[in-house]
Amino acid sequence: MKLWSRLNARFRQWVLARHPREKETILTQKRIYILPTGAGVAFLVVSLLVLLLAINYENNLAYAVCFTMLSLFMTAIVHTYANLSGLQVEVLSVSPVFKGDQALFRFRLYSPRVLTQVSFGFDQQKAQAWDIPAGSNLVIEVPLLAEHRGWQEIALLRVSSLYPLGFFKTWSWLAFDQSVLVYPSPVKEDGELQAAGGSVMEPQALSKGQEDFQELKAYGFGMPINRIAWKVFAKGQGLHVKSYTGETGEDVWLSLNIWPNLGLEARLSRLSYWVLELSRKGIPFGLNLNDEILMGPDIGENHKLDVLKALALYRSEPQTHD
Amino acid sequence: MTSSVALPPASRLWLLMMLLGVCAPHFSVIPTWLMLLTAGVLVWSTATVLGKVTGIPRWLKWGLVVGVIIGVFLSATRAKGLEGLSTLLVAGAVLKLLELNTRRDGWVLVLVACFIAAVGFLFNQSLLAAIYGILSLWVIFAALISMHQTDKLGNDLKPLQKSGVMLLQSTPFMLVLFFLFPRLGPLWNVQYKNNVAQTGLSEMMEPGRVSELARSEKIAFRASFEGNKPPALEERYWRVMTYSDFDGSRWLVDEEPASNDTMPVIKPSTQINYQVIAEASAREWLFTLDYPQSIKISAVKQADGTFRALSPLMERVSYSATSVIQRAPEALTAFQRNKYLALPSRGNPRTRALVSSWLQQGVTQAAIVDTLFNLYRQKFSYTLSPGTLAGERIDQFLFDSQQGFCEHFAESSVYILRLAGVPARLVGGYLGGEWNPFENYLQVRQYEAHAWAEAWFPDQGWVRLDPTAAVAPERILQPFDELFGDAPEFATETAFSLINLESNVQWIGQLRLRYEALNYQWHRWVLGYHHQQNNLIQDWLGGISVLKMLMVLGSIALVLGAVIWWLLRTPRVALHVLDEDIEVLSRRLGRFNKSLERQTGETVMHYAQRLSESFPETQSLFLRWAKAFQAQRYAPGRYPASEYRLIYNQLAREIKHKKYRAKP
Repeated sequence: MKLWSRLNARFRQWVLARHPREKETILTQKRIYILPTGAGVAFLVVSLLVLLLAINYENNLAYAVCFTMLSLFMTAIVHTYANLSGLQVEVLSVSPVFKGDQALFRFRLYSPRVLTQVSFGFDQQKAQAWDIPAGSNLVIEVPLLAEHRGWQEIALLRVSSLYPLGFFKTWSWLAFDQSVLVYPSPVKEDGELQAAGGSVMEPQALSKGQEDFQELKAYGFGMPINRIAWKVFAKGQGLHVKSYTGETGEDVWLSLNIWPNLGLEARLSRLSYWVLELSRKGIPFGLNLNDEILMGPDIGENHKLDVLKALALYRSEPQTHD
Repeated sequence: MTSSVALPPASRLWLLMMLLGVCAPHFSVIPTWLMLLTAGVLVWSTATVLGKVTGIPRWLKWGLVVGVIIGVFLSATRAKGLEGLSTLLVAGAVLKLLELNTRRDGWVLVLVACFIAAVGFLFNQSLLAAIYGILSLWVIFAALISMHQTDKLGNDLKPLQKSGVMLLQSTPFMLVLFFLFPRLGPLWNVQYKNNVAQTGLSEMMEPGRVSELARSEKIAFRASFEGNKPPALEERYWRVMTYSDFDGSRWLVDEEPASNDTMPVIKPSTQINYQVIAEASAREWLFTLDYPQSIKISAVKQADGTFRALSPLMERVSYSATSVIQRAPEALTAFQRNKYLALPSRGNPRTRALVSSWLQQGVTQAAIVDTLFNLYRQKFSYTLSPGTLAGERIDQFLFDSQQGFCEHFAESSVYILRLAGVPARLVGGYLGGEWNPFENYLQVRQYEAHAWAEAWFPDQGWVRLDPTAAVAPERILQPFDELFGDAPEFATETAFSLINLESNVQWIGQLRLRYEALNYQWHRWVLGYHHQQNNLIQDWLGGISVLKMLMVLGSIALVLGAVIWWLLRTPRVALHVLDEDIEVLSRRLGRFNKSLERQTGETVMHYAQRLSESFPETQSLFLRWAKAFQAQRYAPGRYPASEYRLIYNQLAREIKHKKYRAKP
């Protein structure tokens, strides 16, 4: 088993070396592999048993059964291969995910012929099979576990098929030029959040502070909908969002210093949680990563994504798959 | 991973259908309880798949498994050979049916089904069984395909279609394998007596034995001749065995292997080469035309000129043989002379008195045959129902009833000849046969069984004497079924005899001959192919050479190539006449610049707008064309077709113009 996985790894190395990463691939005989399955080998064994039966009883119809089985086995090679050949796979954009979640890589499939039950799956992950219609595009999503913070490169995509008889498995490894942005996984932990003026803000105070209405801000994309001032809107003065502050009435600064006893990843995870939490509550926040990265306090969806991206990329090694 | 995939419900139905298909031919050989169980489990499984009932409880499942194992053990030990195998296979498949959840279970069932289908051919090899076998394989592979696809609307018959296509594509390679694969002898000795009833002549001859066969229209054997010409009617004596030992009531078969020095010299000019396909008879006798010289099958030659196979014919056997019309004189050893003269010392006093009176009158040994045959001709008649004779049988036949079947005449002739001191024996065999003009073979049925006599004279050797020919020459010159077609005793084994009907309706006879011709070819070429293979490959290929093997392999590659091409071809979508215009336009512009081609999914209007941005000077023409196109294509009839054509042609001319080439 160990030998097998080593061989498999070597084989994938070789595949990768043979075909450069690209956005779009057409499956041709250069990259389609085919081997008999256990069922195929068992079928051959049964056909040999039938041959033995035919020889011993000098029964020509049993011979005919055996030869039909053998030649069908041969025909199956071609049919199994044809169920993968000519398939075009294009990788599409992928939304960022949090570490530990499944990144959904999207692919656009196109085949000139109908292909039946073609499985798509990343290495060592569960594959799912699709029927691909002839001459039209099909967009599928293939999940990949996001294991590394930062830019995680797409793993080798394994495309395989057993159709029609299951005697042979045909497959191909596809290397795409695509990466997913992986945010630190959010972990909830209270801590002393620093207000802009340097005063310490208690988390309890944060929730209390919601009560203190401060001002109306013009609505921007990503602002919490539950804060929209509908009365103002009804007066015909446009969309506005009610803004609150804590007791301090100041913006919140998120920094790595809040949890001095934890490692970098753990601290980033906590920051990630607070980014989500503060965004949900509509509290403006800024980010300070060891003074290397400074992002001023702001609010809204774009700000949230920018901050998360900064967290994701902070001292992260670009992660590639072999 | 892949084997634990759950089976789609439709594929379960396919698997059930497949199992019913392959097990059905075995229902006649497996025990009744297993047959009922199979039917029950199939019905229950179908109901489960359709959601009518819930699954079987665990205890009942295990109870069934244990019960079936015990049952199979008891049945299989009692069964004869192959029936045990059938029982085992069917029981195994039925038990597997109880546990049919994953794809792996389906695979196991399919493999077992393939084997069951092959075993089925050991019981029945008829043309119909073969057609049924093809259908079974078709369904088996359809079931296999259905396991690897999803249950979607419109997928119901797709497996059957795919499986049919794949089987058709596999046929050429299968035929090549069938044709070229060397046929080996059995690897080990297998005994399978699959209920072949003993039919035909028996090793014991007494009156009534041969006429009993007249009730059977079963085929004894078929023969085809070199040159496709049957021997003359009066030459169609098929020798099977001789009887020499008479104990007063019965004649026993002569069992004396030939010694090598008794081979008579033959005249080559009178040789007849022919091929016999003998039906399974569960006996060792082989059929040869009188007088046989050699035979190409492992058999023992007897001193009386007949042949015995080494084991009973439990299935159809084909062999070729050579016979001569005229026989060279043969010497008789003292032992043989005694054997062919031996008679019980007493019995049939009136016959003994008759023979001694003839001898006293000075009738020579040579003339006694004529005297006897004259007697037959004058006073005797030939009948299928001679009545029963008891006690001094030959006396009663010769002096009281004076009517009989061939066996009566033959028996009394041998008896009289031996009394007169002429060595004589009884020969059992067949006389006649029906010539099938469609396939040029002679078909001999059981009712054509015949008995005649042979006498030995010092100067001539053994001479065939057929007293029946003296009494009823029509027996030799007329087909047996025509002769006795009206007799109630003839061929009454089958309630509705086709042969009886045929005398009234002629085309039925033609149809029957055609069907039999087809069957004959089936036996000769498919079932008996292992006998033909060597000659055939010699004839067709003239031995195996590298070049010829390459040709064979090349043709296989050609077929495979055609299949690959067919599979990988891109189906051409049929275009609307107007859509072709866009294609032409797009192709032409594409020649100047790739970016000017129409993109997939781009509407005509968008395309035209994009083009007019590149060529502002013809903007109006492009847009006019797109509008006309849309009107023509989507609301035909409202816009004059000629108008559209006019605009299109103008555009096409414009595009040919040089100015477009320079543009990006």
